[in-house]
Amino acid sequence: MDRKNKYVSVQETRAQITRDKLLKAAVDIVNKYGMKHFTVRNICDEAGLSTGSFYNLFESKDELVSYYLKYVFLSYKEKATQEAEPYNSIEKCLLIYRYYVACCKKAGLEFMSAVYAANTNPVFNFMDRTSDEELVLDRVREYIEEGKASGELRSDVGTDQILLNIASIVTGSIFYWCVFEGDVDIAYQVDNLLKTYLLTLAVDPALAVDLKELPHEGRFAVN
Amino acid sequence: MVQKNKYVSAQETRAHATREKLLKAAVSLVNQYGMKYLTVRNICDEAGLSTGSFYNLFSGKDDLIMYYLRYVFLEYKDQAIQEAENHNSLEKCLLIYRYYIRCCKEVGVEFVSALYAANTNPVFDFLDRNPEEALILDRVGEYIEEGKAKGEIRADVPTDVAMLRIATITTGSIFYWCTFKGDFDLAYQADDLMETYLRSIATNPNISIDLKELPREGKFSQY
Repeated sequence: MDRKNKYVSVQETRAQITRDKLLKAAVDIVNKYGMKHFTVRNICDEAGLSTGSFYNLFESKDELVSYYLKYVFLSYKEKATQEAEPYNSIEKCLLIYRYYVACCKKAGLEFMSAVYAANTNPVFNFMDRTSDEELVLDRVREYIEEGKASGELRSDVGTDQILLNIASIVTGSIFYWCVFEGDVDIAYQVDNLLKTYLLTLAVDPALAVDLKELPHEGRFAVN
Repeated sequence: MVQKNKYVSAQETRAHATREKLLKAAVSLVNQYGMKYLTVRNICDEAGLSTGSFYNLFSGKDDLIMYYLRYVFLEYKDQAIQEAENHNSLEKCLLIYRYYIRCCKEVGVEFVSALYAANTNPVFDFLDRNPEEALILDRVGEYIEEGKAKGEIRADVPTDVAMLRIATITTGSIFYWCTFKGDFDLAYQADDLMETYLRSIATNPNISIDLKELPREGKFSQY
């Protein structure tokens, strides 16, 4: 959400306030009543706004959901970017997803189930969306390109192809986290499978991946 | 759907005939008007049946879609099992998924999108569902066990975890296939990522995998 210039019009400020109100109402609805009551009508009632003002700002419920996720992820993303600084490109990718999974957990299972239930939501279309809409993959793309440039990653594999594989792993893991109602150690699963995949891209397959061990818990924990 | 004996009651035959009618109505509805029109009401109107008879046989629309996929896959599954006969356990896993993806393509991206949008659908819960509802993972679990017994797959890899990883990879790939409206080579994508994972649990990571090369096409094929 880069601003082209620093002058923000009154209109834009007002829009931002309305957006925040709707967001707060949406979160309240989900937490109080569950996802079933998450409708545009209920959100607007809770926020004390007309559905007209909702549709001025959001195309649909799906868009609000992805806006929310982006909003929650923003602070995590900054932290992840800072922490990733001294690491190699594979570690960087793993780190940002550790933060993303933490953010998914914070947003809650109910919410995430709704986000990942919409495979036709344009928010998942990372090939065609604008960079404004990026959540994680914009940063991952940078890390991959960086890794190729520094010779850590093989340059004969297309970046889009790599992103598709990474996205499939993460999305698939979150999907089954929803299926098993949260009883899967999603952080460990994502991290482990991603690492397996990313190391196949390394020029040196013995490249050290030196990150904190993740605890292993829940249904698929070994021993 | 193995019949315990060959005697099928008249009631069961009738139920089967009704199921077929509903299925046929659902498919023709989607082909004519698109997924939006796939409602229980519309299906019953098209089939000339009451919604009561629908709910006697299916718990809802998702259940019908799942039945459809299973119905189409049944034929492929037999073929896959036969063809897999002489292969090692890794190849067997890959082969059965090649058939599953062919089945997804035959059923069409619209239907598959609807199914894979329901991450709360109990049918994805491969640990708790009734074995009759198993589509493919039951067989994959057997292949993994077989691979462990023959020493092809590391014995310290829990079968549950291997199944979760494989399910993650295929579901994630199918999810993005839906996102990109069918515009990528799902068969190649899922096969390639799964092979990477399977090699990581193989006793010998360089084990030969001797299957027909898959063609590349669509959005991610430039590499």
